Amino acid sequence: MKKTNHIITQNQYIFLLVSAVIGIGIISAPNSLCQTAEQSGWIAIMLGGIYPLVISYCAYLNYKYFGNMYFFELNKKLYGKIGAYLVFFFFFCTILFYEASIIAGFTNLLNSSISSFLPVYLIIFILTFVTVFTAYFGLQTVGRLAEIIFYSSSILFLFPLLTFSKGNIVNILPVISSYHKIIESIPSSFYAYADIELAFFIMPFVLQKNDFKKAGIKASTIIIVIYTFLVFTSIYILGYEVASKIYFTLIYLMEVAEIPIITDFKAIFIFLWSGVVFKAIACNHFVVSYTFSKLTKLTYKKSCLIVSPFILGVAIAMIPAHGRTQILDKIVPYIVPITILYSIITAIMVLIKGRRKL
Amino acid sequence: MDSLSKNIYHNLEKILTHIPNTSTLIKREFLINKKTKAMIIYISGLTNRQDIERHILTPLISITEDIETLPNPIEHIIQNYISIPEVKTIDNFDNITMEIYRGKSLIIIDKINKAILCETSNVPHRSIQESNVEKTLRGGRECFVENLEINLALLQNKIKSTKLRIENYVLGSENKADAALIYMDGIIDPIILNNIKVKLAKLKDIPYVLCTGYIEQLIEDAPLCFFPHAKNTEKPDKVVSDLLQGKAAILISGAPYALIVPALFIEFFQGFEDYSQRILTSTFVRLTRILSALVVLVATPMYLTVLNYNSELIPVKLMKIIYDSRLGIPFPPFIEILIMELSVELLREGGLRLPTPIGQTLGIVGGIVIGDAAVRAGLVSPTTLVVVATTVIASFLIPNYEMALSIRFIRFPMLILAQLFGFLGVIVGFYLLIVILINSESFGVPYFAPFAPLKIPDMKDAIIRFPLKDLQRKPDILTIKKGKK
Repeated sequence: MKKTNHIITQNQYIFLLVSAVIGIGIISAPNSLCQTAEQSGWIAIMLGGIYPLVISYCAYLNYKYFGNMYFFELNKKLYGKIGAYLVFFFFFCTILFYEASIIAGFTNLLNSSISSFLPVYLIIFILTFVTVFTAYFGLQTVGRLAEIIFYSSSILFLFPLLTFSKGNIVNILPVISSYHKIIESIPSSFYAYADIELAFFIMPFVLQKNDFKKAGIKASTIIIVIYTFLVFTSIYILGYEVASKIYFTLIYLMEVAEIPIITDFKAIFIFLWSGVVFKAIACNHFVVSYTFSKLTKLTYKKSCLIVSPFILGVAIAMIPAHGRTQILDKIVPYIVPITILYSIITAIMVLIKGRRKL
Repeated sequence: MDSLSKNIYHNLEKILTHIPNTSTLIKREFLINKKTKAMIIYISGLTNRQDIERHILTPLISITEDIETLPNPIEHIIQNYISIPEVKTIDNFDNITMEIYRGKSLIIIDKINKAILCETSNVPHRSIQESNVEKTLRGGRECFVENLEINLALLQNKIKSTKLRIENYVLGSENKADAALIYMDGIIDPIILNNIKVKLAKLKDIPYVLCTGYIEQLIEDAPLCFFPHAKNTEKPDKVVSDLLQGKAAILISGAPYALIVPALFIEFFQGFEDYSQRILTSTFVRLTRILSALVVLVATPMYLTVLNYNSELIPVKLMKIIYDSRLGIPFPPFIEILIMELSVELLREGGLRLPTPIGQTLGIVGGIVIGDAAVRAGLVSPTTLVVVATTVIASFLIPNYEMALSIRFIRFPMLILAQLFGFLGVIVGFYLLIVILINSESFGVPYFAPFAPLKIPDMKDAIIRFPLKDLQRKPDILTIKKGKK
């Protein structure tokens, strides 16, 4: 086993961003979107794609004006030492919360499908162990994993097409349910894109930035296309009324797929999808460990181990699906605007200070 | 180290402190020009007696001039009397023991504080035969033997390039085994080469190094990893192919194997004849090998999961067949599968050490007779037997023995994970294996390349084989770029 290594390629940067965003959230995204935007949920998620585009562009601006400066150093330069600590503390709490919510969400999914015989605490423990094991060796391992899993599992995104014949064009008509409803549901679509903030942290570790701006746009576009496609397919097949009532919409689609020999395609899908979720959790765990190591001045590896009980605790607390949704609904409306506000203020300051430097 | 003295008996005494004075140590004393005492020392059985007699003793005894009066008597004797092709002069006892054990003959002459070392070795060795382990359908049949010189000659005969480099090493502080590092200068990456050299240099202080397996474990980065990080082969053709791709080979005296470093995971699923076969058939064969490895890893754990926890995964009719076949079986599925798997391992390990005819008998008696009897007795179910037997057959498709052994071993932890956590256990086990593979490096080269990190040009010769003219001679991954952040 090699030592901790955070160096990644530009390609891995793209897939790390994709991996961080596409995890468990995508399975339930149609449900939350259809509740407000109805059959136009897919338009709402597409418009919400502005969030990853803005964040990845801000990361590019950081690179353009301050080169490979570490994110912590950049914050110190812009907001002072205390400011940098506050920013890192905010991201530490936010990403820890996201990570725990993915673990809790996936635990619920496993518990309601292939692992119903296992206690939820044990599932959470296994998932946390797997995450720590992956992130422990550094960003390079997570980056390589993101790259290989994306390529090998990209076919999964087409699996809903297996049930496409059961869909009806009427389900998505009229295309615009209501402009007001679409705009209203855009903020909730931001949660789907949460974790794109990873771009700020991993940017300095990219080895060769030949076309860094394009890399960010490419990652955001992949994410937006996948989300829009899956939400559209779910609405097309199930209709918005059914989609808004089934929490794990994508899993339900797989459940109704008819494949010879396999009676329960849902289990196979979860088996294959778990790699996607594991790498999403690992991306989060990297950020949590990295921010913690900066806050406490501990080594990355020690931080990686120390934060795991916190994640375990928060994930257990978020196990009841209803409670988790309530917590998410209360916290996310604050987290996302703060992140956007921070990103824009940082971008403006970077532009001002960076130009002055030039 | 001590220098040679002018007294022949004093020198002999010194030599005898390093070499046991047994009947195999020959000390033949004779006179040069009927007055100067001389002695030839060698080990019988390791030397060619005819050469000694014809090219050393006969000419030296027939000398009629007074060598004691000559200004450079040793050089004079070498130039005028000894007709052995490889001769050198020594003036101290450095490495004398090692040279004599290599089969060389030492000539010491009274009143001269120098000695002559003649290459007279004739170390007994096997003749070059066809490999019993690595069978090839298309390709050279010859394989390495235990003699280092012959092995090096086999390689030199196949690579007539000015880039070929052979560096000699003596490994093990006690057994002082001769070894050689072979590489192609200008093709191998200097960082990889340096990495190998540094690690090999450390082996000088290890008490003994007996074969390539020792070297492999002593120089690899992660000896505790499940998977082999270096390739062992007894085929010179394979070594040549790897050398030309920018790898290095290590040969050691006494081992009919070459150790090739660095090695990538996917290479263990590639056969040498893949490049001689048609493109489509060789690609199909490679896919079959990968599939077989997956079958070995997950077939029994999945079967166990279906039996124990997730029977909803397969159609009811199929489940009924499995259920009916297990009626009356006294063991739980996990124990039943474990017994079967262990029995197979016992038969395999037993058959491996036995001579071929007896090994075959063991296979037939063990596999068919006992298997059938166990099913009839109701100890195991026929479906379990089918699943386990399929995994056994699948394991034989993996062309590299070490890799096949590793994958066979991994199915046991996978089985335990499946028993403990069901389907989730299989998922987690498989995922952890991928992380381990991604994290591993073989002499600085990512082990799971070209998949992670992704190297598109190298993918042309990974699972799918492109036409030979499209293949790069040297994979991209074998060039280490020193990047700065």
